[in-house]
Amino acid sequence: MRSVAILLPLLLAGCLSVTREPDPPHTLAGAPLPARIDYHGNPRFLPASVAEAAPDATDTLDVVYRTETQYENSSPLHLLNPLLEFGYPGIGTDLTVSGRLEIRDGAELLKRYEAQCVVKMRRSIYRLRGPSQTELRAEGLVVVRELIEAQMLGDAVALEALPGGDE
Amino acid sequence: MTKVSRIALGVMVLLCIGCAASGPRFEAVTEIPREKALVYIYRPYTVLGSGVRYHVAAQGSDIVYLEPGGYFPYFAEPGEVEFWAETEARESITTDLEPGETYYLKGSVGIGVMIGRPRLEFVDGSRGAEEVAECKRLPPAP
Repeated sequence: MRSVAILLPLLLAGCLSVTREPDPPHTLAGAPLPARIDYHGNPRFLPASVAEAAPDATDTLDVVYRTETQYENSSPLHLLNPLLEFGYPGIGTDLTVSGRLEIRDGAELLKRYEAQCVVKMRRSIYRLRGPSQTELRAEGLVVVRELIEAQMLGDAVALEALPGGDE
Repeated sequence: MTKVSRIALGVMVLLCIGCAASGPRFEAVTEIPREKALVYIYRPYTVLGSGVRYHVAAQGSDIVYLEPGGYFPYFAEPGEVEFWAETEARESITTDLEPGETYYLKGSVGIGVMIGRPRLEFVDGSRGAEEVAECKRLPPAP
């Protein structure tokens, strides 16, 4: 019995699951819309369907991109779960990552695209290495970026009609 | 329970309980330097896990050795910043900081195998302001 109690946690030490809802659509972004971009985050997470306009370009639209991440760690009540001792993957973090891209012409809002992704990670207490909240956030931001790119691709005809959209 | 077991249990309990931070009382920052963001890094005092302390680092250097009941005001470069801490496992959290804004990064201790693991979370302004006001100022990491 004692050996089972030692072996079981070792077997379950690798228990880790990461899920994303929804999964990324894996579509390719269409031709980027040139605009003045207002975004202060990592350029890696900016939808590729927009691009900074040339400095001397006239009649340029404004694009505002904002993201938000909300974290929720597993409830402390999980610590009362006796299965944790045996490697049950009950500890984790849920992240809700959301993004909003607005296309403006001065004060006028022309288009708004929004997307949200929930990333869930569960691990056992014996798992020493696993994705950090930073890595989970990055996964969520990539999915949100791709969801917005897919929405903009589906809206390509309307976007082409915007100033600079046919460039 | 044998005498040895009782002593072992007593030692384990003592190892899990630590002292609270003992610096000056909380004083709010009145002016944020230009082109910087203010991040209050703090850890409310709780008995459980108070024996576990860890450094919080960001932007390439240690910021503070975070003790229970302590806080440190950190002026960060704006943009995407990763904060991290490590005991038996490393935890990190990243956010986009805006210049002139105030953020509250709360530290705590989660369950681990040999020792508690650091937990870091950004909390909203009203909750953060309330909790950090109960903490005492820690010195910067050497």
